[in-house]
Amino acid sequence: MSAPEHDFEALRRLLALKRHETPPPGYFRDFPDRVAARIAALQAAAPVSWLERFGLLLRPAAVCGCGVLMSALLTGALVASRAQERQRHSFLLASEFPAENGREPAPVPMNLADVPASVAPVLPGTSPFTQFIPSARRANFNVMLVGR
Amino acid sequence: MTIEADPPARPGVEAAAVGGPAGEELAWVRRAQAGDADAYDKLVRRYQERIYSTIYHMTSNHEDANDLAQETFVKGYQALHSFKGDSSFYTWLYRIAVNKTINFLKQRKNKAFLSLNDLDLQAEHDPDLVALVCERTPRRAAALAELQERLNAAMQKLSETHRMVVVLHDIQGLPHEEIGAIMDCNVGTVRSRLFYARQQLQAHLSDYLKPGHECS
Repeated sequence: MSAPEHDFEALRRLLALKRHETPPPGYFRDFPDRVAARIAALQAAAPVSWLERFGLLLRPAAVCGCGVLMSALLTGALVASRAQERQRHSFLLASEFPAENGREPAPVPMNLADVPASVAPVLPGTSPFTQFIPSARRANFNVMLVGR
Repeated sequence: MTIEADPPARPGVEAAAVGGPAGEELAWVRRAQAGDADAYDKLVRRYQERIYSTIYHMTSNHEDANDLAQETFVKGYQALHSFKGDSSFYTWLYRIAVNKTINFLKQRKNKAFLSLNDLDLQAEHDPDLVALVCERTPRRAAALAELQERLNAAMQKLSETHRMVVVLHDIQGLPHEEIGAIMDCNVGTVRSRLFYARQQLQAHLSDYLKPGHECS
């Protein structure tokens, strides 16, 4: 494989024509701005980390899951409170009208005034004031006023 | 194969690659690595013409070259943290451009569409080029345009790696060693590719390279 240098001299002169091919005027003046705009666009579009990308992916699923969980809890609480109420009513009825001869007593209309209200204290000593300090008593302000 | 002398490098090419303003360039690179966009802008301005020209001569298509040159600088910015200074920034950036261009051309295989840039006014007065077309023809510009098209078509017939060596050496004026560093091959490979590519081009352009072609 031998090729004297001058063999390619004409070809090299011909290839010099390529150096005269130039882009449109002003092309290189705007080029750096186009590069900067592409870099800025990429930076704006890309999420910062994989954790963020993971969070974005999971967000709709997490929102749906929370909604379903809250609904389930509310429904459960409603069902439980209804069941408890029904159980209490049946207990009261059973204690007032015990079964006779193995037969169920006839239903009697219930006086709701007899049923303790849920706001009335169930135990007398549930106030933290009297529960933890047994000797404590309510101050009798009337006595103080009379003393004057 | 005869060892050939390197052609004189184009002004500024070797200076930037080997020495000259290398310290200033390294400072720009370090600043750009720290997130300074202005410093990277300076690097883009310094190398935009060389990177664009290399890609343009490879693709023979201005629009493709425009896209690939921009992508090269964007990729360079994104990968800037991986630049350790083992080679010059210029070589590192060229490597990105070369890999991008070769990958693009492999995907585009057999769908080459020429979109050539115009010749500048100096071409008509270049004695080497005038010698290749008839000096006395009144249609010298048209003859040069036809020659340009033939030359680009012949270039597109070369394989990507052979074309790249011709572009980097015979058009861009880079030394063999620099081309070896850019293309990740040894100098012997560069020389043999160059020899083969020139032979192929000579065969494709034999009409223009015959002695006495000018005014026949």
